[in-house]
Amino acid sequence: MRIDKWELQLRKGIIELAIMLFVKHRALYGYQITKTLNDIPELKISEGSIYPILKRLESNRWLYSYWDEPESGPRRKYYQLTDKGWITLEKRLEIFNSSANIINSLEKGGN
Amino acid sequence: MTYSSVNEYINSLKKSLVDFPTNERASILEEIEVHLNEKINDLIKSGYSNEAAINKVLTEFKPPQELSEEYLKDNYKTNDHFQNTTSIAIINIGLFGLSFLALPILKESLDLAFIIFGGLLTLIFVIIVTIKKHWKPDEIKTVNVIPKVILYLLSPASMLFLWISIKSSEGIVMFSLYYMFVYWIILLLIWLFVKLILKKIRLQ
Repeated sequence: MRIDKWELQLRKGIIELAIMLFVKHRALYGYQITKTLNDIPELKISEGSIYPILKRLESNRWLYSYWDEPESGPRRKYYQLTDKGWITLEKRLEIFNSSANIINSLEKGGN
Repeated sequence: MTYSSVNEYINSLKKSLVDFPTNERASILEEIEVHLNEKINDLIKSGYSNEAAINKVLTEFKPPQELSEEYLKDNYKTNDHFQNTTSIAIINIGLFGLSFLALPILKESLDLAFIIFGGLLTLIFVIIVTIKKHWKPDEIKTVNVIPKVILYLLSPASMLFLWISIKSSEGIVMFSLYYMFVYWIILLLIWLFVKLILKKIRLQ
């Protein structure tokens, strides 16, 4: 089956939006975010793919990261949304919702 | 390719990420290693044997080459494209400069012009590369090529020029010899300089 490029790009954008929403109020680490995404069939992501995305969000200063230092067990890298990330997320949600509304109304109008 | 242990996978990923600055690479490797081990432990808790868990996790995880390409694509190729090409252009200017420095032997009347032009371009290259702070993988790759260009292109070419110079003036001209000597010293210095810079970038 040929993969629709539009669908791929849309999915990519939605997964990024979902990641930003997950780390909006609390810091999470990569494995946790992957598990949360994979619990939702529409947002399933191949193992490992999350890390380049997290890195990019961090490079854009939409996320900040820190390593925790637990007394036992391995240390983990946590990510949380920055103020700049909040602004970007709000803007993206607005675009996303208004686009969905437009498409819905076009679809209804076409029938 | 299948991996039999987390270490084996991480080592392979380390090789794929060779053009990343060292501290960035170390952080990526540690993060991925923690992820792999955590997933393996979760599978063992849910009833998998040790071996089956490792096998399942390493087969399902993105292969090192693909993962490093995603890192590159996501973080470097789409962003700051302009800055990226500018730096690479400056590096190339430096190489042009070095090449021009070899030419005066062929065209004596243009000696001074070539020396000034080549010297200036080489100087610009040295200054920019010294003060540049943030290096992108493509730029590191380009700088990486310079010692090879010096060794396999500029040095043999300069020897060829010296030979042409001797041939055309039917005998050894002292100026050509002196000039070549100075040129080889410059090549050697630039070669050392680039090696040093590469070491510095990779330690960032």
